[in-house]
Amino acid sequence: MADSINRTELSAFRDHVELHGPEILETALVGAPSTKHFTVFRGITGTKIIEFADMVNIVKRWSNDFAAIADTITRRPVTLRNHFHKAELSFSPKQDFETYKGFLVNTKQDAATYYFARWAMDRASRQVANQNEFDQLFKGVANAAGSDAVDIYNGLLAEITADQTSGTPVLTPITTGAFAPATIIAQIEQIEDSFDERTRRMGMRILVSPENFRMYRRAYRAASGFHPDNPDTDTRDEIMIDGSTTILCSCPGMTGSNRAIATFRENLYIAIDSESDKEVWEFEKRHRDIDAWLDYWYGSGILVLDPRMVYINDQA
Amino acid sequence: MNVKDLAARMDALEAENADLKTQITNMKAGDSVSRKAEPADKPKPPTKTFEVNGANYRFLYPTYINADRQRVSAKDQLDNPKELERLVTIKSGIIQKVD
Repeated sequence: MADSINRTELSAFRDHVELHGPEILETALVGAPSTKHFTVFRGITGTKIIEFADMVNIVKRWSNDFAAIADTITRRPVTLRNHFHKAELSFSPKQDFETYKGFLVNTKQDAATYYFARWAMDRASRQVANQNEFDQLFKGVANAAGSDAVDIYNGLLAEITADQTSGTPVLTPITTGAFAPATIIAQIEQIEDSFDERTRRMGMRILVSPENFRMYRRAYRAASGFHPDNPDTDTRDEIMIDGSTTILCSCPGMTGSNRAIATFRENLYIAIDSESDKEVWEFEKRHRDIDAWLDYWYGSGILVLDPRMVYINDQA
Repeated sequence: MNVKDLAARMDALEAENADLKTQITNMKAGDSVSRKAEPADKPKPPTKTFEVNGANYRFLYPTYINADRQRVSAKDQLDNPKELERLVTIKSGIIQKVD
C-alpha cells in the first residue's frame, strides 16, 4: 500500500515539473528577494567574458582648419563567473501529507488546483532561493575545503572586503561612521551626496541590511512623520531618498552587516544557466521516500569595480 | 626653415602623437581587466600613527570620502586634529586602534 502511494506521487512530481519547469527554476534561481537589484545573465556555465566599449570624446573638437580630433574607443573586458551547485532533499509523501493537508485547511485552498506536488515543489524551490539570498549573494566566502552553501563563492560583501584589505583598494570608503538612530538619516544622505553626478543618473540603489533599513525608516518617521507622498504605499523594502532618485533598499541577505553598498542595477550581475530538461528538478523513488535533486550554475558579483560606480561606507 | 614650415612640422608631429596615444590606449585596454588597478598608481595607507584622547590609531586606507563629500588623502589628514577627532567619534571603520 505504501509502495503504491509513492509510485503515484513520483509520477505526480515528474508531471508537475515537466509542466511547470521554467517557473519552478525561475523561483529557485531568481526568486530571492534581493535579486531584483541585480541584472540576470542567462546561459552561462563557469565563466563568460563580455566587453564594454567606453567612448570618450565622442563630440569632436575642430581646429581652425577643420581637422577632427580622433575618437577614442576603449574596450574593457569584464568577467562573469558562476559556480556549480547541488541541492538535494527527500520527501516522505505520507508524512509530509499531514502538513500539506493542514496547509490546505488553513488557507482554504482547493486540493485539485494546489495539489501536493505543486506545494512541495514551491517549498523546495523557495528553499533554494532562500539559500541563495542568505548564504551566497552577499555572505558567500569561497572556501575550497568548505562543505556549506556559503563556501561556494565570494558574495558581494566578501568581494568588497577583499578589495578593501588588498593594500591597494580600488573603492574609497565614505566615512559615515557607525549607524545610529540619531544620525542615520544624515549618514545615508552623506552616502547619497558622494555619488558622481554622471553615475547618479543611472538610478543608484543603496543596499543595506534590514536592521539599518528599519532604523532609517523609524528615524525618518520620528523626525518628519511618514513620507507625505506615499505614507502607506511605500514598498516594504524600498524607500526613495528625499531630493534624489536614489532608492534605499533592504536586502535580507545582508542581515548583520553594517556595510552600505551603492551602485546601479546594471552593475550587479547574477549569472545562471538557462533552462533545459536536465537542469530542472529530478526525482527518484527510494524505499518509502522520494529523492529530489537540482544541479545548477549560479553566481553573483559586481561587474565593474570602479570608485565612480560603486560606493561603500566605512563599516563592515 | 621658415616659421610656416616649422608650424606645419609641429602640427604633423602632434597629429602623429594623437594617433599613437589612441593606439596605446586601445592596446592597453585589450590586455587589462577593468577590475584591477595598476599597483604603481595606487597609494598605500600612511604608516604613521596619530593620537586622539590618549589612544593611538592608524589609517587602514590611503583615501576616503569625508563629511564634506570630498575625496581626501589619509596622509594629509594626519595634520588635521579636528578631522582625526571626528573619525574617532563616529567610530569610523577606516581607522584602527593600535595597542
